[in-house]
Amino acid sequence: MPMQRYARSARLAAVLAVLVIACAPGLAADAKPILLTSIGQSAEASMIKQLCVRGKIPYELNALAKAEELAGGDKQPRYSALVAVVGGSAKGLGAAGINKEQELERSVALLEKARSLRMSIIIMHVGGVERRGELSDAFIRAALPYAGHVILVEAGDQDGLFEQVLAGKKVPIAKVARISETLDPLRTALGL
Amino acid sequence: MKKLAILTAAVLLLAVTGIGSSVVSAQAVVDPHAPLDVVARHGMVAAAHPLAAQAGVDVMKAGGNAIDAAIATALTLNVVEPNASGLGGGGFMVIRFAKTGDVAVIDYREKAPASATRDMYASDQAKKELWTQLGGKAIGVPGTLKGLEMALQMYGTLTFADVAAPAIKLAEEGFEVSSELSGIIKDNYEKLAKYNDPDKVPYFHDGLALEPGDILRNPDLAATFRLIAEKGSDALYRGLVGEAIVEAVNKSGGNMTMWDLADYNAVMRTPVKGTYRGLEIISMPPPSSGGTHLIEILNIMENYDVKALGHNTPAYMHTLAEVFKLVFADRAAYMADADFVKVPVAGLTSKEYAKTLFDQIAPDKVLKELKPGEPENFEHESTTHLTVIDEEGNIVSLTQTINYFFASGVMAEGTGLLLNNEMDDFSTNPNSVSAPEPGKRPLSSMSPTIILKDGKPFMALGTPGATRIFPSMAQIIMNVVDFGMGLDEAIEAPRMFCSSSAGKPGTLFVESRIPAEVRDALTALGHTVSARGDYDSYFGGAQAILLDQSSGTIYGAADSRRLGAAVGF
Repeated sequence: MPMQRYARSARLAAVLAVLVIACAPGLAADAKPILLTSIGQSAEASMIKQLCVRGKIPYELNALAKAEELAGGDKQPRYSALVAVVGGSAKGLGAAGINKEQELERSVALLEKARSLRMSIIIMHVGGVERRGELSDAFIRAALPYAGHVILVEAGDQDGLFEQVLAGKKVPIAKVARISETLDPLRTALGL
Repeated sequence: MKKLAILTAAVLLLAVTGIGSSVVSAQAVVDPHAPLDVVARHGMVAAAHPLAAQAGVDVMKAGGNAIDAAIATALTLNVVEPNASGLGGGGFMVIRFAKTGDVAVIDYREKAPASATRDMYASDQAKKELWTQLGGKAIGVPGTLKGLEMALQMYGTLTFADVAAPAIKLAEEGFEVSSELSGIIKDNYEKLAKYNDPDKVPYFHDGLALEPGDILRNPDLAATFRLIAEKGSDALYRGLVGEAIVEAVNKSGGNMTMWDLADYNAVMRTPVKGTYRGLEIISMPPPSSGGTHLIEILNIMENYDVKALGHNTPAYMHTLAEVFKLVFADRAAYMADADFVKVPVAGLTSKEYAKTLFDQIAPDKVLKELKPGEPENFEHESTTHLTVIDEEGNIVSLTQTINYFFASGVMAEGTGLLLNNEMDDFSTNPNSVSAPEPGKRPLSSMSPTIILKDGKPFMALGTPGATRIFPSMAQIIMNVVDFGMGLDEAIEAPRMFCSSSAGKPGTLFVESRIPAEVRDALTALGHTVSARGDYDSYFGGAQAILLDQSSGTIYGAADSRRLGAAVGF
């Protein structure tokens, strides 16, 4: 009987272990998730979420994350990194009930707080040429100064804006051809 | 795609004139917005994608008539412009027959399922969770296949298999995704990924949005077309495709039954008619508001010397804004499915009633309180658009939609069909004339239109663009009639839009090509002005044909605000 109880306990432990791994696969069970947010309210953050699922990167998606949500009660970061996917969308801003200025204010406050918490900040631009223009460029220019790493789909940087804004800073820029190829540089930037 | 047409035209021009390429500036050759009419003698298709326009032309070259070509084009658009229309949606078609001059109007607008109630979208939860836009609750009973089948059986000459052949080929072999389509897929990624298995969405690869240059294939849709070719519309309305639709709707929060599908029918309507400076306007009646309000706008504008106001001057744009606001007040008060509500169409389209609205407009003052007029006193008795004319002179003006780009986000698994979110066109106010009811058709603005001059075809046009549809069409018509522009010039000219809601004036939206000093003058008059993009698809994507009866020349034009193309032969 004790053996059977032990076997049951072992099975239960194994099941629990599988569940824990399924919830946060690829990282240690106590690893903090990354905070995935949008800067500009385009839909690309959802695609990076899908990549995180496939790449087994624990994440929390909050397109409208606020600065005060970055730290817990212990004033320590609740997340392992801030991954900000940049791209302006008038439709997305409208759906969120905010305007460009309000989004810029939220984004800069969030990035400032992440920097003050010494979090790793990864800026991604994956929408290509369709996600450039006056609206998107305003968000790109606002976000890039906070970047620790930059990951780009290269079609979105045909005019070299990103290098131009980051000139003189030693920020690694990973350029890929497709969104699906951003997973590897994202894992690298996260130290995975 | 107009880029390609312009390049081709430039090459032809150079070949004819013998002018060296250095004479033509590169910028002029590749500017996709440069006005360019496509000229033909035998037939023309103007549609929202060049592959769809070509499909229609190929069908006519193979012996089909304009109706066959329109259906081939519409089915091909389901493949190559999947974000805008398809068998999961609905639409309207106006046909004019060359031999008799008769006009047929087919209404294949979606209907609310039997489970609909007037207050189904009235709760705070419904508004917060966007029930009218996303998921199963947003989906109306689709009508497109019934409408296309009715047109083909009554007026076509070919079989469904014949007219579906180009669409089937493209769905199976695929086509190259444009930068624009890739952007639209990315914009709508979230809902497509939410309501479907990302690995089964044809607009994705490896669960992510297709990129520019990728090949989009939709073999499930090809199989659905083949099944319909074999079994007719029963495949959808009483068969396996319908079962997949019902399952998808109900799995994503809606309430639709096979009875709803079996009960659906396309219906023939009587067109609304009006005149503008001697031209006869024939357009879409309720449940679309488009044709009625297009005529109402033109009736009011007929009281002005439009040319003297000057194209896109502050005086012209102020006048149009005031007209649009008054018309939208009428729209909110009176427009709905005429099978459920008495709509005073005759009054709304009467010249006398228009004069009462004209009398309310001042050249130096902005209307701040908008009340609907009293058209009863004058009662005497989104989206894609394509326009086709064949060699005999038969014309089809067809506008159809699944509503928002990529609609509800819900696909019927295994069918390749994306399901509409047309329930969003009902009012969420249970007391509105346009509140949802079982079997009711939601209010539309689609306005496929044919214009006659001296009893003969002069123009056929239409556009997507939701409530911007009929205001944009009025501007295009006045650009041709009053300002003497060529067809494509009229389409490409900068546009504006203004409406009213709950008696209050809305923002006056203008394309940013409208000069700052004009915008400032409008602001000084009291308008709230907002500039959008240079060539903004918010204002539509018109496709049109113009006929010069004296020479027999057909002019075709398509809007560079979207991927439109006119193809002639």
